Amino acid sequence: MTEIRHEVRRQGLGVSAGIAFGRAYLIGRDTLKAPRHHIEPDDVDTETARLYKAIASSDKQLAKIKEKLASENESDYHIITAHQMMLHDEHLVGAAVGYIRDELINAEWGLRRAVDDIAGLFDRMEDVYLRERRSDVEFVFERVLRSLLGRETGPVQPPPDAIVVAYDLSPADTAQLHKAAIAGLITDAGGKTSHTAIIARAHEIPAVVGLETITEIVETDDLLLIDGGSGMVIVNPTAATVAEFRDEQRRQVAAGAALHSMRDLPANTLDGTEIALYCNIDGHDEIDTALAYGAMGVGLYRTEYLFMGQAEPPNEERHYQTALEVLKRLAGRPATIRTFDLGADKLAPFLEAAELEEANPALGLRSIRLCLSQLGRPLFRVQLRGLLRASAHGPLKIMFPMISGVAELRATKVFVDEVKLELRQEGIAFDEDVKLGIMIEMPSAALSADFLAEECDFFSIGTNDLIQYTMAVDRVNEYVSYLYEPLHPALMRLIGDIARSAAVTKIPVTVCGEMAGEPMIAPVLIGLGIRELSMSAVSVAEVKAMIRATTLGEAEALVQRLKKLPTAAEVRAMVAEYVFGLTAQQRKGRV
Amino acid sequence: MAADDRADKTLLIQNELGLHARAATKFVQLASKFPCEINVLKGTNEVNGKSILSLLTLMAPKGTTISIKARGERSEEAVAALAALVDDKFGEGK
Repeated sequence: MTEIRHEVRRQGLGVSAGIAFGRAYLIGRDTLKAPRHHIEPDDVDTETARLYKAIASSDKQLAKIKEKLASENESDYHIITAHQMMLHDEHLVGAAVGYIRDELINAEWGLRRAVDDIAGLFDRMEDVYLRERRSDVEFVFERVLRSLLGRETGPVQPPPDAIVVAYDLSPADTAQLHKAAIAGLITDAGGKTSHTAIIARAHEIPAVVGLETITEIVETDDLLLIDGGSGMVIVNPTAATVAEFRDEQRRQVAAGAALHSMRDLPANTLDGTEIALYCNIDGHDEIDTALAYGAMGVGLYRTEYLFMGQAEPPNEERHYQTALEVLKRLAGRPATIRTFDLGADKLAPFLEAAELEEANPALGLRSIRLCLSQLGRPLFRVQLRGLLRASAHGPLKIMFPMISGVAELRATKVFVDEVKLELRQEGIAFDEDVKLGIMIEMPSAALSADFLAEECDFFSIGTNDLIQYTMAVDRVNEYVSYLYEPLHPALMRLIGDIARSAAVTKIPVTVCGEMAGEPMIAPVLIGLGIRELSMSAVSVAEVKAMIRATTLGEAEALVQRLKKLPTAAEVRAMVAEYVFGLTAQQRKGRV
Repeated sequence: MAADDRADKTLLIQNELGLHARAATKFVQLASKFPCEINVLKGTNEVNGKSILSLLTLMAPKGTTISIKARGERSEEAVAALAALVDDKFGEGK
């Protein structure tokens, strides 16, 4: 007979994402109590010997666990070595022996007092990582205590698909656990940097820690539902709760699988128009992720981070090496590198030192204006030299930010020609035909796109700034941010004009603002004539799915209808209706 | 006393994680190979350099200045070896 147990929910700290459902397997800890009694002076030697014997036996157990690990998991290996050293630490053992002898107490009590002294020191530490090392001392104590009491535990062996429930897990426990096929881990103690959290993440086991009293609530074989993402733990869930979570679990798995299956498929419309999807990145370490999500290359590499927070601006070699690393990781795929877009809210120490004291920096000395100024010119030259040198090694394109019109474009190109001449005279290799393009991010550039298209190799529409400058609205200003509207009719006209101008001289045009990563807007951009989108890696799969569900003809027809609408709200409503229609068709198509 | 009966050296902890569990493990393993007495000082706090718990409770994150003090046989050799370990960022590379 089993009593009916009610559903109980507890909120902890989710440290390793994923949903798990299974039977609880308790690793008991709190059942052990250190017996306390006084001893006769004659017994001091016996008690001390008991302690040393228990320490030796604990040492042996740890050595055995370590042996099985070999070097497979280095972090566990080293932490267990640290535990072995603690076992023989004078600070601990010496103090315990001192208590036994001076206070005439038994070995268990003496050891507990020595541990408490050290734990107290750890508790007072400010550093979170070091404070959590208190648990290491506790694990060592418990192991010795079990030896003293003759209550050694064998290896922890939960059944497969169990959810392990513990007060805390020692590195020795987790070292054994990650070989077992457990479904999840939950603990009373622990934080983001606890061993449990680290091991769980490394092995992709859903885990929730910091539940405080979960070991008191749960019994072995209770049904458990855990969500390692939100930190929710449900004990004895009702059928309805299980169904709800199963759906969520399926959704998560399906989303992951869809994303994966989509990775190697082209982003073509149903009627075969190819759309190129690229990524926006701030550092070359983001490239592998971008490719994993299915990006075809880098559409925007922002180089500001080479300057920001650095005492010295990067030298030529740094620019060169950074660009080379980008090309290397892309293995033949194209990379568009934007020269530094500093000024306004993006400051570097050399700029702060200049103390420009501008009343309105957003409309001040920034981006290409800064590059061409006395102040920025030397740094611009150094960056161009580095990038040009890298252009000899792969498909690298150079892009200039915030070009206002043809005069500025020409001034920039004259400067690039000077730098090229220098390199030629020095006999340094670079790609003579390196493509030079511009960001279109202010209305003056958008409205003179036809002229600009005659004199550069490609366009990239920076919609974030283009919207801000077109609407004269600061999108982070809460009073006016409602005016920041990607689907404003004025903006669609600008984008349409830019795309048409680019088509006349047959230069590519990419959209690289946040708008490019919004799946719902993709059909609109395609209908306006855009064939390249650059976005953050996580958006690629969703945007691709949207493109693959639409046709160019439909997208163009949609844009024709949108052109008749005078407000952003009406545009948005019609776009939503269109997208909803698409997904409905998709569902029908599948059934 | 022989010339190498005592040695002292002041050092900067340079590795990212500071004198954490793994770094302290290496320090103690190395210190224990020498017969001399080895103490580590941070400010006025002085602890046994062969005790991992003492080193951990010393709390020395990146940027901390510590001194190593050795007294007894092979002191100079011990301090040189330990200083090399600290300067090598405990072999952690960062």
